[in-house]
Amino acid sequence: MKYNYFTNGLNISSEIPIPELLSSRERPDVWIRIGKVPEHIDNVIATGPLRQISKTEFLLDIANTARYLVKGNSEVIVEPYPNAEENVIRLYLLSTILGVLLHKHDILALHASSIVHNNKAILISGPSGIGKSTVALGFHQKGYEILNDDVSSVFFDHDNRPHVYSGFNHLKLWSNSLEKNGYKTQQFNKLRDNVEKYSFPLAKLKESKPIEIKTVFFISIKDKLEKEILQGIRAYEYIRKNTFRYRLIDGLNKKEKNFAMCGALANSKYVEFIHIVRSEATPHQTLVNYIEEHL
Amino acid sequence: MKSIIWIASYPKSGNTWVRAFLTRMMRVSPDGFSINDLLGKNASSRKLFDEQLCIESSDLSFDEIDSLQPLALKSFAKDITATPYFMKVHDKFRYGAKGEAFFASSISIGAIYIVRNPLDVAVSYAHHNKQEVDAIIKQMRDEHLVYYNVRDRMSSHLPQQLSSWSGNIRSWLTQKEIPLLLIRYEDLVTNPLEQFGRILDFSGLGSLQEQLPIGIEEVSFESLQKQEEIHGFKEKHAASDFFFRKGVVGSWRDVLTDRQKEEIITDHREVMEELGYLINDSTVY
Repeated sequence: MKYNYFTNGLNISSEIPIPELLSSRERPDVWIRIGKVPEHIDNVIATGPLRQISKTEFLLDIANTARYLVKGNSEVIVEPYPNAEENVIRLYLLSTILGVLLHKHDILALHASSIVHNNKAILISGPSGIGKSTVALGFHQKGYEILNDDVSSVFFDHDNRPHVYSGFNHLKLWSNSLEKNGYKTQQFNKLRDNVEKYSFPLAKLKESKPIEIKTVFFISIKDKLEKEILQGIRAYEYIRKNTFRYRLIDGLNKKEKNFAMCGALANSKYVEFIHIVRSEATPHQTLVNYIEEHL
Repeated sequence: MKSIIWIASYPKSGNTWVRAFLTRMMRVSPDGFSINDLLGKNASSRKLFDEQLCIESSDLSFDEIDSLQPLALKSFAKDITATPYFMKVHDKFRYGAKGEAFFASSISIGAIYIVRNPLDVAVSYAHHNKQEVDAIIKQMRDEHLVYYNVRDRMSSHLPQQLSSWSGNIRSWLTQKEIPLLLIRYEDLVTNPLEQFGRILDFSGLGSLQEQLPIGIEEVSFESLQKQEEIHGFKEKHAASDFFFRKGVVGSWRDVLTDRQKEEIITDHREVMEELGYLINDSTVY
């Protein structure tokens, strides 16, 4: 059986059900199947602790979960290890493997959640743990539509205006975030055993129409809440360092392409870039309100 | 390639002061140095782990993180171009599930291990965490204590296996994987030229000895405190008011009750005696 999905600019046909994604009727760009994956690939040009990269292939080996092989830019083969949890297999498909596919398809993916405000997309970007998903939850509670959690892909239309695609139909949230926002974790599905993270469904997500970007917020931590406007080279630096799975770019031979895409976004006259610093103690609701005031 | 010097200690034992010193000595600029730009990336940085392995640590269980951390550190070491590269550690010296040392000899030049009188550590730690001293004493005796052991939210640090105060110290002093320089906080205070000089020599930075006096002066407690007052300190615990609080030796005498003092000594007598903090049942500092 095949399941058809859309995420971040890619139409995917998969033998593995991936309920976290939006359904699609478009012709697939990528096929995901279960099959044999070798322990090593030939002609390796770059390696990391869990990965091997050749000119055409990317291998990710996650012990006790699966080996994943991305062949070219359109085929993903998954060989699960015995007794692997299905939801854990999907976690890597929707993170590292998705990142590889987006790079291979020359799609600029930012490590960002995104929401809709006045028919424009607002991105909230930053490293893991900065609060992207929790901030998105805060906006969801205020009635905003959520486009993406964690990965937001940018493309430029024929007028060179940056747009973002929708991605997932859920937020991944820690139990602490849910409880602080008035939810009981029993209402939600746990993403996996041994990790207190839950899938928060986004029932209001509409179709996969891309939405023009108005603002990108980059969040970091220091000692107090404040913001600065980023322009030019500084905006470029923040975009580059918040590219999703940036470390894979060199091995995938996408450095120049990433440079061009980050530069194009940074120089876009249609987008403003704001760097917000928060302290460790800043409540997420305060951050949500601070961002909303700027919109 | 051996490129890393671990700056290791139980919390509140002088790790940041040593890092401030090394930062000042290695990065001389007309503007001096900033406490918000210190050498010594944290070995338990979640960002380091995620970037090196290209996976989300937040999707992993603690056991999975633990089994992969040595790989992340080895991968990070491959990117190091200028040595020595200092990394901050509060973990006990330990081994992964496959028997490999967390702080592998293949990537380590050595470790500077800083100890401090546990009586003063307890007081400082209580202020840092805004906790009661009794709670801290209990934590300091817990051989299974894990720092940043939060399971319902994410922190910027991966879980750090501290062990007890004694356990942490013993693990580093008894390991034979990497060369170790033992430094006592109290000796840094009373004999800074000699002790900071030892740190420079151990780190292969003996050529900087000439700058030692001015370097020590610029990282005096008062200087660090002043910087924090003006610029804040990004490594400060969210709960505490200031990171650079007192920095003196023996402040425990004004804070700990007799019972608390005896409890700490009972818990850590052997290591206190080995390190010279207890001689013939009398406290030295």
